[in-house]
Parts: sequence; structure tokens; C-alpha cells
Amino acid sequence: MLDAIVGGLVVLLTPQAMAFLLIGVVYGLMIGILPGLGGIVALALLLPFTYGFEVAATLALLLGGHIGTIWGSSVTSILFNVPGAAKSLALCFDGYPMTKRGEATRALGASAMGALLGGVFGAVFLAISIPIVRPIMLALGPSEYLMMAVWGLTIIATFSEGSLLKGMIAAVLGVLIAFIGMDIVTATPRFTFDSEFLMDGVSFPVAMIGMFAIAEMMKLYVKGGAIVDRSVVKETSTVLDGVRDAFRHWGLVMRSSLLGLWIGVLPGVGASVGGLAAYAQAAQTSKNPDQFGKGNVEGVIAPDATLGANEGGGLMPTLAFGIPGGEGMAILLVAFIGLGIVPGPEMLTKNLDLVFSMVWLVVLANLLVTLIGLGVAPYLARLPTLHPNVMVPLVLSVCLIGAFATRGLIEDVIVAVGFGILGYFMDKYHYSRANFVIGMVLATMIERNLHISLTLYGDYFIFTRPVTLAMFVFIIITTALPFIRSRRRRRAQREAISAQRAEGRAT
Amino acid sequence: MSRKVQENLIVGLIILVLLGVIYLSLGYGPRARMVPIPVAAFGLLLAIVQLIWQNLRATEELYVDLLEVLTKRGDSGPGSGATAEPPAAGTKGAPPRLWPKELAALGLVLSFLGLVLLIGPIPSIFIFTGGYFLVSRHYSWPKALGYTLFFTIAVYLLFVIALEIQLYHGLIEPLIDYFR
Repeated sequence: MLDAIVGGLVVLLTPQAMAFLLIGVVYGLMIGILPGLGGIVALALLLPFTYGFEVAATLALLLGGHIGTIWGSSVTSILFNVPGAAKSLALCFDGYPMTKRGEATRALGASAMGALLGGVFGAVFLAISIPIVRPIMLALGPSEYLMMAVWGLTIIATFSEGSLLKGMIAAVLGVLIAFIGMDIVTATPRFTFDSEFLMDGVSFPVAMIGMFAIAEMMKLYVKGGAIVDRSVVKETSTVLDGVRDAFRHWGLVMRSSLLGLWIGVLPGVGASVGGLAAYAQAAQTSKNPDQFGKGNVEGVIAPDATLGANEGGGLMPTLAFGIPGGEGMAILLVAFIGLGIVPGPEMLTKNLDLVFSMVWLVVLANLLVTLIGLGVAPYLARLPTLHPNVMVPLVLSVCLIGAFATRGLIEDVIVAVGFGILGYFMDKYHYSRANFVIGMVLATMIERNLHISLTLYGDYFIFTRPVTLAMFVFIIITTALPFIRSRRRRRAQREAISAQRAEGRAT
Repeated sequence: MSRKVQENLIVGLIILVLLGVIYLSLGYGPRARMVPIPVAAFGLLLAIVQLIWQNLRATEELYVDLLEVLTKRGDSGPGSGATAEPPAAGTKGAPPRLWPKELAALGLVLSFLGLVLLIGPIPSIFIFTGGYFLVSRHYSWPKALGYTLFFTIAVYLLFVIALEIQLYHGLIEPLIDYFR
């Protein structure tokens, strides 16, 4: 295996491959920053350029572009509360509060370094776990994927943007919105009102552009003043603070990376669930859970580390079984076949050096993204200080054309505006927009896997599948943990107060 | 309209939507409605509890959540932050009148959407951005025109030339073709 690791790196050390990697990363960062245009668009546009060059260079271009979009999406989440893609949603929860507090540079630094460490740890874990990955991948079925999605949903219980009750109502509404369109299990058109456009359902990127970007611009217009007013809130942090944060929380980075790797390894789970699950995990294991949602740097590091590691993991099912680990991997699969790379179990035996080339590319691309990110972070951090008279028309323009560009449908622009108005009023009346989108993202996965599990394993599948049962118990424990901790803390406070009183009486 | 009435209207609307979802779902097959009906029914239950709860509380206490009271999370658990903070409108003292600005924001977004539907995205971006700069008087008109031109060209180059996105030309296009 050592030969494959070294051989995989040597192939990449050509000027063409390195130049293509740089081009891919810069291109990915630019596309990622544009709302609505995530990794899929970026990769789809790169496909025509994948013929006629050496394989290593082409892979560098594709993977560089793919990795670049991920951090690009994180930037908009942190600076504007606008997730560039569904997978970056979790970064809004603490990244944006940090920006408003004058710590945008620190958040960007922590995000970039978290992604790099996640990418590196993910690659190392991947290299170690290649021999055991295949049996585990084959052992997990739809019922375990269902549990994974339910775990992502538990974030609603631990995270509250508004009130908890309203947050749950918002999640229910999000789940129901995801059911619009053709039901994938029964092929029944649901809530489409005979509209051909609604048959395809509501596009996540479009909904997010509306829910966050357009709604934020409406808020900015109503409120007046910039997102961050430098005369009131000074930028108090540096990129190095964020870098230090990422190293200080190395345990969190490790846990999140492992989570990202395994979520990537599971075909069809997708990085959207990974980001949310990483956030839930960070909130549930943090020493300061009460700071989550208010600008806790751990809430930025965890999702980015997971997303960084997720890409390495996503390569496994794509290459070993031809089953893409996510949407981006599906496009990569098309490119691989075009390059003559035939996915199959032999990839993990005979063509292991090619697999390691890709793992190295993930690491190198993450390294480049981080270097560029750390360099430009102080400049990017100035964007939220722009006057609303400049920000509102420019961002609204990019949002509307971005919504259109997502699928090339004008109806998507109307949907984005509809979600924008909905998002504004949800924010005003404290119905959590984040929970709404979490519900939307996870609903399809939950419904699909529930149906398949019931068909394959019967009504009591939770109790008949040991791994599912173990995951179910784990979900209950991790959800209950913050409540138990809170109860213990209160009891300790009460005991301390009564001890003080008793002491006072004695003296 | 008081904050409580506004909150009641919102919950009322949500209840109506959820009832509609349940009604529509009843027309689908058993497997197609297996998840939507329980989810909508659960949402309905939550919305009714929210409606009752918010009407039992004084306006100042609208932001204290039933679940937080039940789980006693308000003091230290996650979720206490945003809940404890009531919005600017509707609080005691002199609440700022937000609705004129809200209406203006709504009008702004809807008029931009109308423009896009009518003449397509690129000309709309030019008119909307330029108009916004001029009306807000943030820039002098030559600067406003310059920045608007630069921005529109940048968007055009990025989306139409680089990303090769086939743009929508607006409802007005067939009319122009007709008169041609």
C-alpha cells in the first residue's frame, strides 16, 4: 500500500497537474461564492475541459474545482448568512453571528483551517481504513441511512434560532415543502396542483437563496445600516486567531473529520447531512453548548472539518462500486468514465495508486484553498461593512440571476422571491429558517429510506437490525445529553447556593 | 395591529396550510401519504399548542417558549438566546413603525421580479441597480451609471459568456418579435 501512496503522489508532481489544480481551486472558489451555483454547476462546466490532457492533470482540475466550491460556499454562509450550497448551511448558525460580532476574519481563518485539517485527517483515516471500509459499506443498509438522517434532524432539538416550539413548526413546514413534486417511491405527484414545474419539486439552492439571501437583503433594507457597522463593531480578530482555534479544538476536528469521512463513504447520504450532523455533534459534545448559535467558533470548525473530510470519503463508493457518495461525486463519476477510469472493486486492489492520487489531490486542493483563503480572508471580511445602498441591489441582482442559473427556469426566480418573503416573515416572527431548511434537506432522505426499510426489513426494523438499534440508542443518548448536563448544572448551582446560605447562617 | 394579533394570524395561517396538506394528502395512495399526514398532524398539534400558549401569556412574555418552560432550558440550555430577545417592534415604549419600510422592501423585491419577468435578467439588473443607486443618491449619477455598467457587464460576462447560461428574454420578447 505504501507503494501506492508514494506512486499516487509522484504522478501529480508535474507542472501541468499543479497548474490545473491551481486553476481548478481558484475557479471553484469563485463559483462557490456565487449563491445557488454549487459544486455541481462548477463540475458540470468543467466537463468539456476533461479531454485531451493527462489524466492526473484532468483529475486535478476537477477535484480542485470541487474542493474550491466547498470553501467558497462557506464564505458566503459566514459573511452574509447566505449558504452557497446546502452543505454549508450549518456554517450560518455560528459563522454569521461571529461576523456580526466583528470576528469575521477569525471565523474565515477557523473555517479554512478546519477544512484543511478535516481534509488531511480524512485522507489519513481513509488510507488507514481502506481495508475495512468495504465490508462496513456493504453491512449498512437503508435503515442505517435513515438513522443517520434522523441524527441530522436532532439538531433542531439542540439548536434554536427562535423559540423551540416555533422551531419545530418551522422544521415540519420544511419537511412538507420537500414533499412537493413527484414522490420517488410511489411516483405520485404530491402538492403540485397540476403544475409541470412543481413536478420536479422545489430546488434546495433556490429555496436557500430566497430564504437567506433575499430575506437578509429585505432585512438590511428595513433595518438600514450595514451588516457590520465598523463605527460600532470593530474587527477584533485576525486570521491567526481562527487558525489557532482550529488547532486548539483538535479533538473536535478529529471527531468531525471521522464523521465526514464516514458520511462520505456511505453512498447517497450527502454532505448536507454531514454538515448538520457535525454541528449537532459539536453542540452535543461542547463544554459551552449554550454558546452555540451565538458565535461559537466550534460551530464553524466542526462543519468545515466534516466537509473537508467528506470528499475523501465520497471517493470510496464512487470508485469502488460506481455509486456516487453525493451529487458532486455523480458528476465526477461521469468524468472518470470519460477518462477511462472504470469504477469497481478492482480500484481498491489493482488501481490503488490512482485512488491515492485522488486522495492526495483532495489534500493538496484543501491546502491550496486554505492558503488562498487565509490570504484573502481579511479582504473578504470587509464585504459585510458595505453600505446597504450598495449591498442590496448588487446582492439581489446576483441572487435572482443565480436562482435562474440553478436550473435555467424562470419559475425558480419566482420561487426564490416567494421564499425570500417567507424567510423575512419567519425571521420576524422567530420561526427558525435554519430548522425549515434542515427539514427540507433531510425529509426526502428520511422518507425514502423509511419506505425501503419497511419493505426490506418489516415494520419492526429498528429492533431487528442491531446496527440500526445501536444508532437509534446513540441518537437518543446524544439528544438527551445536553438536557441531562443542563439539569446537572442547575442542581450543582442550587447546591452551591444552599451551601452558601447555610454558611451564612452559621456565621 | 398588536404583536399578539400578528402572531395569532401567523399561527392561524400555518394551521390552515397544515389542514390543507392533510386534506390533499388524503387523496393520495397509502404509501404516498404515509409520511406527509403524520408530519402535518404533528405540525398541527404543535401549532395549536403554540396558539393556545401565546394567548395565555402576556404580550411581553410572548418570547418565552412553552417547550423551554417545560424542559427548564431557558436559563442555560441552548436555545435560550434568541428566545429571550424580543424583537424591536411590539415592545413597550415607542416601537418603531416598521411596516412602511417593510412594504417598501416588499415592493422593491416584487418590482425587481416583475422587471425580470418582463424584460429578462440582464436588462433588469441594469435598470434595478442603476435606479437603486440614483434613487438612494448614494452615488452621483455619472458614478452610478459607471458602476451599474461595470456590474451589469461583469454579471453578463460571468453568467452568459463564461458559464454559458441561456438567459430568459422576458415576456416582452414575443411582442418585439411580433412588431419586427
